[in-house]
Amino acid sequence: MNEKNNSQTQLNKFAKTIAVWLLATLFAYALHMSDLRYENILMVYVVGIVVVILETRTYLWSIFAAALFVFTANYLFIPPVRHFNLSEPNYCISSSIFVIVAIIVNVLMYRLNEMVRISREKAAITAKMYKISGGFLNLSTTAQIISYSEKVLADITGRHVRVLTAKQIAPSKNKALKYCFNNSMACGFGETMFPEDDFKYLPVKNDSRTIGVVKIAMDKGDLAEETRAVTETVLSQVDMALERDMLNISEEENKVGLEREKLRSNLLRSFSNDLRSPLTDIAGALTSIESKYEESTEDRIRAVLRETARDARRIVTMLENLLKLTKIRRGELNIVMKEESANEIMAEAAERAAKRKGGRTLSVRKCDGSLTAQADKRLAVQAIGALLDHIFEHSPADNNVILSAARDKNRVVFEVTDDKTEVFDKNDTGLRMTVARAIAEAHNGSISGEMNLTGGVTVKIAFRAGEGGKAGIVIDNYMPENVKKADFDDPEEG
Amino acid sequence: METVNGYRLILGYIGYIMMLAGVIILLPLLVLISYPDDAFYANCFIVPGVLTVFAGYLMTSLIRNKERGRLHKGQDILIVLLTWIMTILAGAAPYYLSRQYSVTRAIFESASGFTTTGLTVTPVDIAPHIFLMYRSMTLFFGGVGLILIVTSIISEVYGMQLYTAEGHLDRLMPNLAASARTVLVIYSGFIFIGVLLYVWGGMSWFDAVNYSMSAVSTGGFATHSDSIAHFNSRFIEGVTIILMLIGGTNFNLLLITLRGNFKALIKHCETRFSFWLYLAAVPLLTLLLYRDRITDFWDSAHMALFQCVSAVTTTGLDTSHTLDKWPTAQLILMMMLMLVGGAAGSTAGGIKQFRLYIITRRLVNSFRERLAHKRIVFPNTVNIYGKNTRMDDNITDICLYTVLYIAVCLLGAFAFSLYNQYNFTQCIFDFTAALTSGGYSNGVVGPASPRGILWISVVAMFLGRLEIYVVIIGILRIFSDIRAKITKMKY
Repeated sequence: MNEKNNSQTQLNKFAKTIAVWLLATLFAYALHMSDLRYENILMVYVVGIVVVILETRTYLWSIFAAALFVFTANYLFIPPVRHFNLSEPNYCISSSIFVIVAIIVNVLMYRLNEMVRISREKAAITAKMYKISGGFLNLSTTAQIISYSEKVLADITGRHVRVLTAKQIAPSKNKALKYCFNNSMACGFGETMFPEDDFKYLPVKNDSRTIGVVKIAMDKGDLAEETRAVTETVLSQVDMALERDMLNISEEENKVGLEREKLRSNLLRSFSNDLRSPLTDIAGALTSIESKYEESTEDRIRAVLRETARDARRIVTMLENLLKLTKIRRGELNIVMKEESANEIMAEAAERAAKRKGGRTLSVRKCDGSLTAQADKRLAVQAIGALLDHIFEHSPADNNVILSAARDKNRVVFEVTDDKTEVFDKNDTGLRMTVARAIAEAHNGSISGEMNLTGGVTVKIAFRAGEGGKAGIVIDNYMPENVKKADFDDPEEG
Repeated sequence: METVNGYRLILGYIGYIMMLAGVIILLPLLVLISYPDDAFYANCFIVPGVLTVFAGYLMTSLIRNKERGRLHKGQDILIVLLTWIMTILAGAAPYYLSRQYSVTRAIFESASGFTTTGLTVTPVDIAPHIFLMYRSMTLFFGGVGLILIVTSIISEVYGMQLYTAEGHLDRLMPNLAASARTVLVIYSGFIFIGVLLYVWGGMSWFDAVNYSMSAVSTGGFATHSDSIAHFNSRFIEGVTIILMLIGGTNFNLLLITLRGNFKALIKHCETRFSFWLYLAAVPLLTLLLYRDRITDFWDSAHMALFQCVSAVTTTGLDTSHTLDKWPTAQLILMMMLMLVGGAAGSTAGGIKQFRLYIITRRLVNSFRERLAHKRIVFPNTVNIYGKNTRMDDNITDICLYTVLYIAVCLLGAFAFSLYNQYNFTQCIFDFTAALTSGGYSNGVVGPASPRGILWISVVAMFLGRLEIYVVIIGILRIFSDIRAKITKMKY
């Protein structure tokens, strides 16, 4: 194959030389016909030789061309034409000078070509290294770095390359591989250690430690000196990229740990706050009865016990929420995602929250019947209920609360809004909001809230939209059928 | 590696075509083997030929062994435009150096050759053989397409872009270079067969080569002032008709037919269109020629067939002797046939049969839709190479092009008429002949024409060969680049 290519190249060079010779001779003939001097004709051939040198880039062809051109000039254009004239000293001198000039030009051109070639190669290597370095900057995982490194090294060496990290090297039984890793030394094919191996092992290392090993298949023979140098430069890039990745992972882990700790203490604090109020109430009520039992009437005791029971139920609900939150966080809660009607979710949430609304009015705005959300209905109802509870808790008794839903691109947004709540903390860490947030996140949704310009707040929870329904149609003061007027009078709230 | 972009890239690509142009200029030197007396004119070819090759070589060094950047919008068209301009200019050098032509006449003759128009200012009866052969060679290379020849040698990433920008519509083979080579081989083959038939019919080898190239490339340069009529041979005229028809047929259709698919040839829309066109035009011209007693009936019929084929394929070879004496009706009929032109993707000029077929079909469908029940839908398909294909939505483009073409015709006729020496029929006929590359002359364009007429004709030939749009877009691109450069310099 190589021989065939070589003979084709030689044939190509021959064709080029002959083409230039033909053109130069034609032009020289034209000059000769125009009675121009022999020196001018020689100049045409000098240009021809320069072109041959540029095109063939070899000494052999250019010297051949110089000889051919001189003889042609002598044969065709020196009187007597079509005879070689070697007797006339003027022509002999000018022809000899021509050959010498051609050879000098040849050498200079060859060197210039070589310099240009080397400088181009260097520029190409620099550009390649720059591109490779840039490539490493965009990688974010160890797998990506390894894959990219293997590709880049395979490109440079023209061989199959594998990059192995400490984790992969540890269980391996390959002695050469382990030697390279443990001693931070190149080994394998062509090296002092394990020279009979079919692979070359190069360590990926820095001053203090070895991070991995690059294993290169040597089926095409050893690496050229330049290739080896470039490979080692790339290895230092690989090392830097892997180290950076390791640092990033460690930093990320620390950050996650800190966040987790912060979240845990926040949750603990808010839960303690939430738990303290009902427990204090229970303790106070029971102490009061115990200390003044004889003085207390039966009605009074019943009333206190009813209060205590309500507080106890609140604590149970809180604990259930906490349990659920823990399950969601651990991924243990079984979430059954279905296409649920937004109207049904709102109706059920409103029905459940109605018991806790007190004197407030709760309106549900019915949306387009085909609007659906991809959600676990039970959890979605609970999350929206938590939002409603949050508003109830922070607003006066004559508040008007509206629950509505609408489609926003590929999401369904449930919105709880009122006009009286005065304070809203986006980073509220109360248990209810924490649960609502956890449910939203478990559904790949989100939760947000903001103060209204006209007063009150709007809290939103978004779930993925189902296939049905395009845009929400709003109907004011819609009451779900199963939420009766009587339900709004919560006996426990009095 | 350094990436070459912009005008350096454009010049680099043009360099390859300049080298080819140089070779085209040098090729007629081969005639010296048979006609050594013409060696007197060898310098006229050697000097510009070698210099053009060398200039092209230097230009290609801008892009050789370098990474080539992308051609931006319109730059492909710019390459085609500049290539044609530079080739025509380089091709004019041998004429000028012979000292028999002024600059204008040299450029006119070169443009007429490369655009395959066939209008001439050369006194062919006394012209040296080397020049006659050179004219025919310009026809051949211009007809096949300069870009196409270069792509047959070097297959480039942007070859296809340039290939289509030059007006070639089809790719015959999956590989572009193979497509280009196929076109070259097909043409060379037909020329070779034409030469053999002509020689068999009594022509000399020299005339046979010239007329064969002239007919297949639908150029129309002759080696005698009375063109094909000089031989007074029905056989030679018949061969010429066949060669002209081949030249006026789509490259792709020729290949499909040569592969044995005659059904595709018969069903192809342009074949049917031209069949009906000839069926209407030939008898009509016969009757008109006979009515005006120009020749007897059978001579009229024969002449009408030859002239109709020559006009539709925009070749311009002539058997009439007396075209300048023809009455207006015959001339207008010939002019209309030249406007129709040959098939798309052929060496012929004109509006092209494919475009007119689409317009006609659309027009007929439009009338049928108006008259038929509203629920009847007429199929909107055309038969291309034997297969029914949906008509694209480019009907607007086709109509716009046709309107533009006719507008240019009228403008050109107006420009000719400014000389006050010619009547309207002469003006419109000669300008149409230049624009469509028909190559007939009714007295306006000829060796004795004023310089202005020749320059207008050069512009017309150029516009016609590059189908107007290429010239307009190319010029707009140059202006926009100059404006951008000035703005950049200001800030």
